[in-house]
Amino acid sequence: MRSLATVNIGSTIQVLDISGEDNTSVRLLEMGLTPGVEVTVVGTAPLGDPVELELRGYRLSIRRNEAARVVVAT
Amino acid sequence: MKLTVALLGNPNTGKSTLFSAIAGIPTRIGNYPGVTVEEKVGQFHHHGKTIELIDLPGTYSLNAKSPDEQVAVDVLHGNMAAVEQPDCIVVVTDATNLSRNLYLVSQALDVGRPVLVALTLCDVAESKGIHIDQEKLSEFLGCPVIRLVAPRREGITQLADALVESSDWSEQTIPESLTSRLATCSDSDRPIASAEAIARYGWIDEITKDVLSYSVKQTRSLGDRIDSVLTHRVFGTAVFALTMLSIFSSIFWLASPLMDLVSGGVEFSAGLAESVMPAGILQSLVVDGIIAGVGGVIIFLPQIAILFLFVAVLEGCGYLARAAFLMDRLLVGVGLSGKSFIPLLSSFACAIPGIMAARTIENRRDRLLTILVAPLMSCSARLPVYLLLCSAFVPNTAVGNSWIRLPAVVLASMYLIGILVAAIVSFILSRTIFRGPPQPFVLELPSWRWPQFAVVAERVREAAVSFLKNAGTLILAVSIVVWALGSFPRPVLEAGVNTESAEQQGEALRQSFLGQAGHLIEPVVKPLGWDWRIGCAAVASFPAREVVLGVLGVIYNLGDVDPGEEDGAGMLIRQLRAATWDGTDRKVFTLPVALSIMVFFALCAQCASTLVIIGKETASWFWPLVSFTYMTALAWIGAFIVFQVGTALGW
Repeated sequence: MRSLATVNIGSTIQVLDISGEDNTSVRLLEMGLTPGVEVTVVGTAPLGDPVELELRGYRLSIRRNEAARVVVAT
Repeated sequence: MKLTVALLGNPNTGKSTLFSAIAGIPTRIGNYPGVTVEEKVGQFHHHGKTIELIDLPGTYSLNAKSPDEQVAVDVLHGNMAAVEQPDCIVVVTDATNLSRNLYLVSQALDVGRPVLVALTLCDVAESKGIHIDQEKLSEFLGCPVIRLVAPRREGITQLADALVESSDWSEQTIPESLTSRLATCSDSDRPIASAEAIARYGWIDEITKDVLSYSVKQTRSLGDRIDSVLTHRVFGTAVFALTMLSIFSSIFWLASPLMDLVSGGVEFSAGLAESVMPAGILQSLVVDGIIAGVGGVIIFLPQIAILFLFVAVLEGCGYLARAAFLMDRLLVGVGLSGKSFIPLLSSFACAIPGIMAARTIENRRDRLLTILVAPLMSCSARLPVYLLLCSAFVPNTAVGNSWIRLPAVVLASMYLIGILVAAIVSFILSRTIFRGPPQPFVLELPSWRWPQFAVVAERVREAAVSFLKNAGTLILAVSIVVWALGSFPRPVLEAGVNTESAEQQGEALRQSFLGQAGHLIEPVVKPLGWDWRIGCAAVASFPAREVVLGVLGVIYNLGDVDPGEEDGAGMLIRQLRAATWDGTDRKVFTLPVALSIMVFFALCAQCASTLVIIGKETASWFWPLVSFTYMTALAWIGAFIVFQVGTALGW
């Protein structure tokens, strides 16, 4: 299983699933990171965390430990 | 007949712009009972109907995960005490970001009240090549969709018309296509909340496929290009540093002429009162109690207004979220988040606007932590204390063989001590008392846009009014109480003694409740190397830290010296250097004592206004009590260590 945290900057990739069952997982889904959606990793903050994503036509920033929950296609 | 309408929407959708455009200045701003979530209500009239508009906190979901979202849910379902259930829900929907915004719309449809979708930022969407088929969207959702360009007031009348008409509907019907998808959730092997989110997005994808179309252009927009510079490792950091520097220096320098104006006004009024009133206790109450107290409240306004002006502009153009994004990693290690940065930075000028700026932190835990550590940042009121003591007692020698002078090192250390202690306190609190399930950090980076003047103006006005109304009266009351403690009981005077003389002023203070308190706490402050006079000055500085120098002046029979002026400072320094322990010729002020006073003031909570504002912003008197207790304890421990170590090393 590959996570979004390992995806290179500039790549676009498809979300397969969100692991975990707590509030964080639900919030990630509610922000539109649902199975099947395409996500681009736009960049990271100067200190390497958080990461900036583009999905569903908007920009979202999540921390690396949250990105690690996002299972993406290989 | 009155119609109650709730304004619901994601953050950054132009909800505040719409509120200002439709209802103007809010008729009521306050807190919902028991929570620190702001309640904002406006009113307007249309076609003979009075419409009350409730601005709900910005939320991404009605599956509440924060107090803000819980308030939105409670108001919508009529579960909020003293708030009527809205007759109609307007969902403010960002046309540039339809897919994610429709998520909240789909949940609003479930509430059962008539729903109106207000499509904002349509002009921006079109310029980006995004086209929305408004009629089809309305058909899919089963509710009216109104196109708005709020700053140009396009669509405002149509929205008001639709609101008035909505009172004829009995309830909202949920589209069949949505209910059938939600019905399958219970069969899913995922938790129900996750399954529901996926089902709703499935429904949304079905709609957007038909409703959304894009022009071919889709080249890199200007916003994307700005973004790639501003979040760039090098340029982004440079722009960030420059922005923060200009905000910080503005709070300091732009505010200072305004603050001088306030001080001038206070001096003028005091002079006027002294000339028309006979000398005596009543004159003292008016001059030293009331006028000084009112001045002490108004003096904060310039800094509050300037900081909120910057915050509102940054928020309006979308930089506030980027600033939080850039700084997050630095602060997350000590249990805070990127959003704490601006409040903490502002606290170096003054903790009052800093603590108020913590309102921009949605996460309740992060906000409280930020408020608790913000007063540890060395504010501008501590600077004169540091400067005077440094110049009087720290030998002006070079450090080692370098060009750096010792007083400068000591001064910088005072700032560093505050930052270090704040980091430690926050680190410990976030892993003990404030430990809880990890809070999701999902931060939208809104697209770039011009800030709306009306929204910026409203934010500044609101901050100023709420400070004056909520905190101002209490700060005034505290300063009058402290004045009374410093003036009573009055010394018994022999006939012919000049009450205005410096000796008499000193005597009066020494005999007052405050002076007695100084004597009383001498055993407590002795381990810090302080005599009772320093203890007394520390207690008397409770209304505001900078007062400590003035009080020392009075105690040492200098009368009302102004330590800001060269003569005043020189006299005060000479007196302090000459001071001896009662009945001996041992000097009170030595280098360890001066350092111990500085460290104490770097860490203590001797600022009534800060404690009042903490109480107001957290809607509880528990947190100011916590702040005062922990900061005073830390200040004492810090001063104790510095004095004892310094003495042992023979400084």
